Amino acid sequence: MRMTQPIRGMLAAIALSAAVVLSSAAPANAAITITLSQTTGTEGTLVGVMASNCDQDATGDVEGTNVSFKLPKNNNNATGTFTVSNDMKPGSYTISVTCGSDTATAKFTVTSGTAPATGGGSTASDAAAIALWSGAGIVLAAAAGMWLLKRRSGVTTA
Amino acid sequence: MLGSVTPVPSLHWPEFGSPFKDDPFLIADPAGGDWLDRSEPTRVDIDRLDVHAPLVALGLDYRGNFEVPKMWRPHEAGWFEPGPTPGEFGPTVLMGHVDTERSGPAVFYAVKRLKEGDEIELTREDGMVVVYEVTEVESYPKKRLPYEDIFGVEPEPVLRLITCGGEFDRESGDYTENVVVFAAYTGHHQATEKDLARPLNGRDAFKDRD
Repeated sequence: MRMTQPIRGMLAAIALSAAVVLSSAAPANAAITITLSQTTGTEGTLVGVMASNCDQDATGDVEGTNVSFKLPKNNNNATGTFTVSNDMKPGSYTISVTCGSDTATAKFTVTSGTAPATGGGSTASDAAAIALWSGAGIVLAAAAGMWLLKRRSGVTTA
Repeated sequence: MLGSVTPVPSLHWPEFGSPFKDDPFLIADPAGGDWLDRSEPTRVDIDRLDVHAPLVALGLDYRGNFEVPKMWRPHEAGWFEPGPTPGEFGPTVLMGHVDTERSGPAVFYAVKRLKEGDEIELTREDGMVVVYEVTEVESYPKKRLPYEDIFGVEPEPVLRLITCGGEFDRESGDYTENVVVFAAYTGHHQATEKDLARPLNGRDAFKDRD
């Protein structure tokens, strides 16, 4: 089911054929629903927005910021995009779209762009620690051997 | 004449105008599915790995990084609270540690061994059990975690499990990769007596696993 990377890239370029439907289904004349191409992103992410059941040009904005965008009419839907700007600091945002007298919202989360730190390293460190200690052991053994040899040779020459 | 009758498998590109009508891969048809309303998940069960873990809600920390479960509660997994809940349309994202700083394996230690078709069950506060099936297991360098795949649209509710993989980098105190399990919705049902009777893994459940 999952789309491959190139297809996704193309989709983004085509401007969001794909979208996340965030609310339950609506019959033909029901209120608009907002769908986003992804629910979480980072600064610079291009996010697709689709307002289904919106039969006219619509406008959208990211509440609490100065980001706003247009959603031209597209058959029975209106679609547009916005880019996560540098003043959209990490946190959760409400994307609000107005279509005629209708307004609907969807939630979008901006992160710092880092990946989850889901490990402490204790299982990885086992192998590394063993390698470290066995290495140290070899060095010690060699040193001890040298010392013994040296001592012995000292004895014989004495 | 030979070539002219050969059926060519065609990929239906979504039309700019009405993606939902024309593309069988992208039909996000909420009316066709029995998607659920929002209700927070309370536990995750992966029978094949003997994982029965309580879930905590995770968000972002003050720097905008993903919160992860507490290191001293290695048997717990977390779910990304700003996103959709299980069975809601969109991607539900779970995060769990692969191991702790000192005491060994943690809740998602074995998820990298999941195979296509393995079942993952999430129980919600409203008593619904949502069932997913693994479709893919991937490992990505942390610098190139594909947000668009993890948090992107699918034509149905989906689930992602995230944990760590790759090498452990001592300098940064973190692993170099993230293992991501992709799973697709297969259905939901009201929790049965048997579902409810399943014991949760305790704090030491994962310590001695391999």
